[in-house]
Amino acid sequence: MARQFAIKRLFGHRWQRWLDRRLPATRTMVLGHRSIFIVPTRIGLLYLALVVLLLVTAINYQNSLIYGMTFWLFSIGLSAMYLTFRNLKGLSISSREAINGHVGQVFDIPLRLAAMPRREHLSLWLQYPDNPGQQLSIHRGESDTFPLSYRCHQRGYLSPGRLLLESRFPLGLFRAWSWIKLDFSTLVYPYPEKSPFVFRSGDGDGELLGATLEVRGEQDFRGLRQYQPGDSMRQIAWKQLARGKGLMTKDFDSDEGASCWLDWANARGDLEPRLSQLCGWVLEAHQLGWQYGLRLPTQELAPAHSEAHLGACLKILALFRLDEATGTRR
Amino acid sequence: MTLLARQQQIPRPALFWLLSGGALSLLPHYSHLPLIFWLMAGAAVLWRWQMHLGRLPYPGKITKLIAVVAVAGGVYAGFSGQYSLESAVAFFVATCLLKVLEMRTQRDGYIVVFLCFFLAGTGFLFEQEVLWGLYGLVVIWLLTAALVSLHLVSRETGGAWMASRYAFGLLATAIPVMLVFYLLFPRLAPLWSINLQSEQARTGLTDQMAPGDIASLSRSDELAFRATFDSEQKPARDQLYWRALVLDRYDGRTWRFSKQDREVSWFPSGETLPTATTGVLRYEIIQEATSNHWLYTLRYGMALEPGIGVTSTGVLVNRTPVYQRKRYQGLGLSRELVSHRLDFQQRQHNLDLPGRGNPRTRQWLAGLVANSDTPVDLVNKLIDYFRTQGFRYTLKPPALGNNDIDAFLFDTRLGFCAHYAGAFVYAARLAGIPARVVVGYQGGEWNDAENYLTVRQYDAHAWAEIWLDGTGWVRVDPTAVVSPERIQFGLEQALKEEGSFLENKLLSPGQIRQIPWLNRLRMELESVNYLWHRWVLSYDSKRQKSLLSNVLQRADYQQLLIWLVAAIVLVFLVIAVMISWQRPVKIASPVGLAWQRLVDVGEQLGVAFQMGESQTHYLARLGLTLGDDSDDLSALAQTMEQQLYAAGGQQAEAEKQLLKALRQSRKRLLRQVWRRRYQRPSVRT
Repeated sequence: MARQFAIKRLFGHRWQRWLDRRLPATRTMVLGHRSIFIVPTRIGLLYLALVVLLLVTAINYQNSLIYGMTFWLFSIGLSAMYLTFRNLKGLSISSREAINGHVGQVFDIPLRLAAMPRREHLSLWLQYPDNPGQQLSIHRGESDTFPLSYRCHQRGYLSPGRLLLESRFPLGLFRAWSWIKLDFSTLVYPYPEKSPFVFRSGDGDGELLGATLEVRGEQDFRGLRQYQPGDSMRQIAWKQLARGKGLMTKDFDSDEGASCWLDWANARGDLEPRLSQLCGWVLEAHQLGWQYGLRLPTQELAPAHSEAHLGACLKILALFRLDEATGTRR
Repeated sequence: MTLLARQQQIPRPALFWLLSGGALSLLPHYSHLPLIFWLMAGAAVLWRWQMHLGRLPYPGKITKLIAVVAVAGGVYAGFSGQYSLESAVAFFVATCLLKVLEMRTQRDGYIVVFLCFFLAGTGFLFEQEVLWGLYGLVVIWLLTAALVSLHLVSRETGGAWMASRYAFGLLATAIPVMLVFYLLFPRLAPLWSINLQSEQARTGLTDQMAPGDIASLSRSDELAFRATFDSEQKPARDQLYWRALVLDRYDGRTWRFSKQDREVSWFPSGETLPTATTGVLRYEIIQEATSNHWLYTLRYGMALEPGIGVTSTGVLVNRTPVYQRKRYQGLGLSRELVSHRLDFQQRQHNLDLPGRGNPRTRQWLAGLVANSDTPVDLVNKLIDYFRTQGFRYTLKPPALGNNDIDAFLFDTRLGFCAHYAGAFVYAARLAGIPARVVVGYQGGEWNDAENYLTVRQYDAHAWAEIWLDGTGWVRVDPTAVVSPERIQFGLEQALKEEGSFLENKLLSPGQIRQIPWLNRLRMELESVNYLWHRWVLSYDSKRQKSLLSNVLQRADYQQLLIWLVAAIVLVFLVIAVMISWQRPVKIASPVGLAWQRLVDVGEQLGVAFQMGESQTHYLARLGLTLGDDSDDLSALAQTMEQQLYAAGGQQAEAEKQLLKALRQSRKRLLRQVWRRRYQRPSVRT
């Protein structure tokens, strides 16, 4: 395993290119003979040594029974090669969406594994390199979704790289594996850095309007109304929900609490630290219930306060200056 | 699995298979492992099981060290430090036990299984009967199940039984390839010769005979050899004198084999096979290992195979010691067909006796010689003496002091075949008749079902041959006059009154024979065993050649290898076909096929056709990936719908249109694939 990764790094670039050509990224992958690699393991070589030793014993003692046993074990080894392969063949693995998160956190990436009606896939090992793996089995015709851990270090669309899927079932003499690249539309936001707000008077909208830092965003309570998607979580009437009256939103006289612009120009450092600061500010402002706008060199979002707005801001931060197509920096 | 997983604990179900497989692979070694090993093995298995149940902790370093020392001490004590195959195996067993005790991770599990595989294999060196063969199957099955269960996640329910079922299937599917290899793999000559068993473990004839030697053999019912006769010949019992060794030197106590004047003419000696049918017995023998050179011969032997020779005394010998079961053809010629010579030196050698000892015998013989006209007359007088003077045949003769032949002939008159043969030859030599002792086997048990003869160690016998001028060597068996039953019915009948036949065996053929149905069962099992010996155990290069020359006309090793390679290639081809065999999607029409081919290309573009997706939807998704080239695809979707809802008369036409559209779209998509493969991607799904 460690060797696996070492080899991967050794041939790093070319290997990756070859794999990308052979096994392009998809949402769903059905393993077949193009995508499964198989080699004998060290234990397999040891087994071969055992067979040779038995053969020498058989020859030397002219013992038919040991001959028989030798060839039997040899034949089992050959069958094991095919069976190890078959244990992966026909398995379909598809990506489900994980919950959006931030750089540096561990994502539980849901993967859906499905077996064909008459195939089973036992003792599979799934792992993203340098992350904890997990062992599981899929029985005949079943399908199931498993979370697989991946600690993400890059903002943009979640691209955990290639996933190692391997199995040594049934005898451990051979190792069949595949490097699977799956596509996700999950977003990875920048790391949220906690730092004090900086509002520099710029073009008249660099400062915080209408409230001080401590002011909460709720003013006079006006009444309840039906919840609409996008309403701030902070305004949901939780008591009413608990009484079983359904989702209601507390309506206030003026939803405009404090209002501010979070500006690229006010953050310090290179690209990533700046984005981290902005991300931290966005979350903080949302937490405080302000109306906040986001201004980046290329685009801006007018101040608002809603879950949808939060999502839009974070998405802009996540994809800022990234290749839209791939979500990765080239 | 991974480094991490390799250090993972052995799955719980696996331990059961590991321990049971390990324990059973030890059993075939029962005959040569000292008792202390069984105690150690039991302790190790129990201890490990207790650890598994959590009642005992894993052994620490100190405990392991103590265990190593204890086991090493056990090996040393059990074999008193001598090196032999048994002690090597015992040492190996000991290491297995220690490994079993400390196995902890999956990797240890592998090592234990492999060690046990080897142990089971070496078990076949010691036990090869049918039942042991079947037993070996079970052991291999258990060990394979252990290997499989090492890979099952412990959480899985029914993992243990699943492993055994899986292993069974695996073994069953592996049989055809195994048989091909078994039959075709060239049987090579041994790389180096090893004596399989130490001397102490071997019962059988030796190349010297003191009074009482053969009596000890008679307590063993071990198999000596099996013989079949050609063309349904079935010689009478009193003809079944199997000659193994000729002993012609006497030192006053023991008869020994001497190499003097022994010439061996090895096959092919240039002699022509006798054409006569009378007086010629053709037979085939499957002989158990003796660790010695001699083979068994009826009457006067003739070597028929390479590596076998015939000595000047008319017995067959093998060029190398028979360390393994050996199967060979033999030819027994009656006295008339053999030319006998006895030159002066040989005559002297066959008259040679110590100068002193046994004064009463010497005196008695001097009297007899004076009263006899011819050697034949004298021999008859000697035989008469045995017949009339109250001699008894017994397995428990009293001990004889010095001048043992005197004491035997005139005082005790109780003896076993060795006494009679020895005394008779001694007397004949005193009388000036060249004589020698022959040891071998007499009789055997016929199995009527398969028509073969089983000869066991208790059939060991000694008799005399004397030289008569003008006739040659003549067999004389003084035992036959003392106890005719020994020759007619075998040892058991001869000792019926004494009741000493195999008396210290708990269950032996002798006891079983008293109960008819048990005896029938025994004979059946014997038959099976015989067939097993004949067709499985003695399958060697000769058998292989004859089998293959029947099948493949001519067979040399080169041909064998070619066939074998062909077989391997075939296996790999089959595997390759199975591997690349994609289950065909059920396709009802050419349209379906064309659609499938289009989807295949679509998948190369990264859009997989998903379960439950409609074709139009798929095309729409495909269109999204292509961006500006998607007009063609929406047109195709339209054509599809048209074909689907085409009026009755226009169905064929619509189908044709659709096929064309599908093929064109596929070509366009293919172009996209090529373009993408050699350009940077520009669009995201």
